[in-house]
Amino acid sequence: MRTISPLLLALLLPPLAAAEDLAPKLRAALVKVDVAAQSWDMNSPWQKGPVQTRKGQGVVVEPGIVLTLARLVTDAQLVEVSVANSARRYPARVKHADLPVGLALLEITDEELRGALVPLPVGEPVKLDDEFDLYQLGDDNTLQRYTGRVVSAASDGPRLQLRLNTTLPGSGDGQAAVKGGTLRGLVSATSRGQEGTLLSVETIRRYLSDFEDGVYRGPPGPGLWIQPLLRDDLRAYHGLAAGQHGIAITRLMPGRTGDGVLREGDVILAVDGYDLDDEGKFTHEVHGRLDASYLFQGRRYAGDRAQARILRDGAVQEVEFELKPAAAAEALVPDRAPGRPEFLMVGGLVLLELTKDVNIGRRSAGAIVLRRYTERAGWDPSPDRKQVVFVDHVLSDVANKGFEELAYVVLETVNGQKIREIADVAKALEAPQDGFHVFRFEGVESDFVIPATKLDEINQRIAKNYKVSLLRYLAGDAG
Amino acid sequence: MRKALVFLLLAASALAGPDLEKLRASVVQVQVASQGEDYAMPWRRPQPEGSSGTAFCIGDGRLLTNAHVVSNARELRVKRADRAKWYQARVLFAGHDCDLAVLAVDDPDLWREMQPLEIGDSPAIQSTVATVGYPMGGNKLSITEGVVSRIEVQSYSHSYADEHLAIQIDAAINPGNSGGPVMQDGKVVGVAFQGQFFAQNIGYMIPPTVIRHFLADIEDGRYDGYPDLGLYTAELQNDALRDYLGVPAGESGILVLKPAPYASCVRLLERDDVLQRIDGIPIENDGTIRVDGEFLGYEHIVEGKQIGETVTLSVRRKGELKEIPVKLRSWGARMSPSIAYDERPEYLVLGGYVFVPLTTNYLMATRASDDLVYYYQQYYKTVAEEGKSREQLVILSQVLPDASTRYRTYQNAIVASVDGKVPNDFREFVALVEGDKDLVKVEFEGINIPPLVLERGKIAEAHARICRNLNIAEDRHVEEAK
Repeated sequence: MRTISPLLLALLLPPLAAAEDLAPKLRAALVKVDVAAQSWDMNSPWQKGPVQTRKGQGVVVEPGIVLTLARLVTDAQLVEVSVANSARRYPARVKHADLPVGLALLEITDEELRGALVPLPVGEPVKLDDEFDLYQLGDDNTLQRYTGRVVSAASDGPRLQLRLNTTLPGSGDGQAAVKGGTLRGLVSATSRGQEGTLLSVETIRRYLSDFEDGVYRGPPGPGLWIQPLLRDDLRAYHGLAAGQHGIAITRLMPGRTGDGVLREGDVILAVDGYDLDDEGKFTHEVHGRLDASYLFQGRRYAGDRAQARILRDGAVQEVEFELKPAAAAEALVPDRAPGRPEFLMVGGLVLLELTKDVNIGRRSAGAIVLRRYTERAGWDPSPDRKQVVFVDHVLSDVANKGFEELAYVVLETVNGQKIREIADVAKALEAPQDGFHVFRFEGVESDFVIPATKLDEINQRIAKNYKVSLLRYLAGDAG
Repeated sequence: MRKALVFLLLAASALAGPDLEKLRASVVQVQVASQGEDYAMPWRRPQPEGSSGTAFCIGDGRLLTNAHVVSNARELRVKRADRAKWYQARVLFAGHDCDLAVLAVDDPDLWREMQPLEIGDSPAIQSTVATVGYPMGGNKLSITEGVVSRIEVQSYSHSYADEHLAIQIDAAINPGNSGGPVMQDGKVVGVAFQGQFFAQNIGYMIPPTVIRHFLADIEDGRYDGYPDLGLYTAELQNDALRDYLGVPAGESGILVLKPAPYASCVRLLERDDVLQRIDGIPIENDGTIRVDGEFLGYEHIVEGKQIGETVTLSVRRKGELKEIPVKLRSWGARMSPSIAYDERPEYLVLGGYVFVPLTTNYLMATRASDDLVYYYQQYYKTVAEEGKSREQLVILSQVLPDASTRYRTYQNAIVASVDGKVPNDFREFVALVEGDKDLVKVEFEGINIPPLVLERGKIAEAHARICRNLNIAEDRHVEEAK
């Protein structure tokens, strides 16, 4: 009688055995993240908004360290993690978060839990058509497995993202893509009815290895305005010969990538040895056609150097330049930085710096003016203006009678002094003109004035009436 | 008690004076075939539309009606209620800013046994009036009584941009009524002209002051329109702001933000002037003046004047009061916020690119983005300076489908320059792009919008093909220099 030994059985059925082996490994590596967050109330910036709760997933990548999505932990007040098959929550703290990259690290403080968790190694990149498993801890903290496949890859600034063929029933984002027992990506978005996207292994590796030397440099910031050269008239205008392909530089930002080396009108033909096409895409070894932003930002660190082959005045040249960090020159209209927004309340005028997430409506004239900054000119700080300071709204008082409806107007000067950033307002208020504080706005608007000797009294009255707990917060103020 | 009230109302009836027979002769039905312009595709013409309205005899072989009844007319005829015959008519004068027009009929037969209607004075609030006309196209004369509800400044919807006094009555003004007389005590006390879309039984009529202004204007054989002070102003409700501007306690006025270029006050008034009186009448802090017990905007004083007349402004400048006589002019600027009628749109088809001057008609025809509408509306307020900035903005309105125009996705892009030169108006733009250079670079306003590089040789070839394929009979209409 023939028998099959258990060992042979195991050899005959390796895939099943491997899949079964993975579950305990993943139960020891995946956590659920519960966050209570509270951001500042941008309309009344002296107070905080309502508390929001968010939930998501994370993966242990080093002992006691969890990799998760940055947007889960923005403005976090309380971060807790839980593990498979247990409802118990353990405290964690945000070690680092990079919103543009999309990733964050949490540190688990509970020693017992730290000891019980085992890091999941980061594996090789997954490519087009690769299939893998997606794991999450469900609402009852059981381990759930789905399968996914990559349908396309796209570079979006500092992120390299992969589109999935599937949507996931949510227990929050941050699900782990796993193949061969290694981490192959983190699900970054699973909006309802749309296919999910995966933050790639490349992006995860770039983020994690940024900490190796003890200094986090971050990805390089954007810096070049470019135009595709699909059109024959533009190709001819830029002097491209048949067979030459590239993108034209239309604008460079002071202090940013390429400034001082590249020029407006240059055509970039290749970056770091990768030839660009007329849309500014190149062929990546694993992911196929990707946007050149991957070469400038997605795979590099701020401070790295890049080589480019350019066409200038009809001649091909090789140039080298530094990839500058995003913070080298602030954007005129930046994304809102996490943390407390700067503001001033003066005579009922609530003054803020314009950020991309200021919720401006579509219809009002002021909103259209502000949108010209956010959508068109919103990228170019100048000696005249580092930031756009605007009146968000007015707290009605007898002192601002006639100005109750003022909203979304940009502050040009205070007491004759140019307002380049919000701190300038405080400085300008030290020097009233003929006994008045004079606020002048952009466009054709009436000046707003307050008798200088009465400013404190007016501010106090308005603060009392509208329960404004703080009249100003500027960088450097005790907050 | 109730009977007595009814009697009183009847006694005050608007039709106590003129008899019906007189009105059946003097108030005529107007039948119009009109054809506007297609500002989105200016080489083609939309289908003609038929409509009808009312007009009435004002003597001298002339009929008065609304401008909107006869604008863009290709065929125009009138008919009396007491006759079967239609008479050919033509437009002598059209005032689109006040929605009035004068028609002539050359056939002397029309005028036989027809008496002109006399223009009376503004009716009192709550008095009864009668609208006379041909509502909804019927060919029998219709007379509807109503009560005067209020008199106030209203937007005149025909031009889109003008405001004048209007009288609101509680009789509905329906299509067809337009241009008809509103009668009281045998005299015309208004011309019915517009209703309220979302309201019932509200109608508006043009008051005698506006009718007289129009008739006085055309006496010299030309309609010049209303003068325009052209001032951007702000209310002066804020006490501290009045102190700051040096307005003495107890006095009032309105703050000048900017005189519009090309209009009456340019180079005479300046920012931070406080306009305190107009022709000696004090202006309140909200910009109103008191006339006959009513508060009206200070512009009302200008409403009573013609272009070329003078208005005296009392202005406080840096604390000092000045009397400034202002000779009245029209709005004056080439880009007008008003809708244009009876004009051909200017355009240029160049290869697959359609360029047009930016006009109100274009914006309304194409439902352009809010941004473009805003930029246009704000141009004279925030950008334009007389003699320094462009008189007309030119836009690339659309790109026509052709192999030569692939990947060109412009829509409503504002031309910034042609080979580095900023065109002052559409005519200059056309001259610049059609110069003798082989390569012309057109750049656009805004960030990172690619320029258009036009190659003369390629354009010529594409031009003929596109005009043939898209059936563009005329590739341009450019107005001659005035």
